[in-house]
Amino acid sequence: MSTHASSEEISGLIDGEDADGAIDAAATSAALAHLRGAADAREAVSVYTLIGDALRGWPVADDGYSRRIIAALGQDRPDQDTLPE
Amino acid sequence: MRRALDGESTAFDLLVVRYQRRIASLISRYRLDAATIEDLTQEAFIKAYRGLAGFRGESSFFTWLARIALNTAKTHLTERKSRVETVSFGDEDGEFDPYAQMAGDDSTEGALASRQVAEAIDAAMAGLAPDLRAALLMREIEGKSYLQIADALAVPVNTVRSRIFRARDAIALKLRPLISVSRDRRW
Repeated sequence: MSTHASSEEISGLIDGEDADGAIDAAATSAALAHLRGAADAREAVSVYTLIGDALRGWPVADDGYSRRIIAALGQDRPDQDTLPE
Repeated sequence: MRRALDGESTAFDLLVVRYQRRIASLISRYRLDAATIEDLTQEAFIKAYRGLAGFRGESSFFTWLARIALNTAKTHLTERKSRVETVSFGDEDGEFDPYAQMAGDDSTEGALASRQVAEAIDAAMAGLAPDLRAALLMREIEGKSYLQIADALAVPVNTVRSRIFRARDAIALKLRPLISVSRDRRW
């Protein structure tokens, strides 16, 4: 996984806790920027969300949906920041 | 969520990663093949992204997204003039198996992998310190906010955030040999 601090902020982001003040605005921006640039941070998101889905009894097979959906979304936002390959 | 509404694409991507399995599982109730489930899941997220301005926050984002997904699936079935056969959890003669539904034609291998991951997570959960396990379960199963968990456990919010992260990271370490997300499958 990525650095301890970054992964902890990303863990909070997954829970939407930036809005509740558990992560401040600057940390949220830093975590999102970190997500754009670091493959290991995106892996952390994938694994952390998988853990939650498994605990709730959802199917957790690695299906690659996210990557393909996000690639398709990229066609809708050519001027937006995009995740690196 | 607010960042996604403001047009920050990485924030919306985070919502895709967070909800894609749940949306795919919902669509799979219509007994569609795996490729169609994926296509409709993708279509639902694209519709949601394009319609973000219409999300007024009257329901949760997931509820709003799920409604889009189910309407997308129903439209697909109507257009195909297929018989709409909905499946609801718990009231069918046979037991609904979301693992097999998600895996589609490759159900045996996919369902097995999914179960192995789930079993590994259960084992890792059992090995966690009780305070870490409690925080993660309150978040993931009970859906409590960090503030609610902090109140329940009588600890600061930052401690809750730390415990949930440490629980996730400990489980992730145990999972790594099983899932090893390859570069071409990461988002």
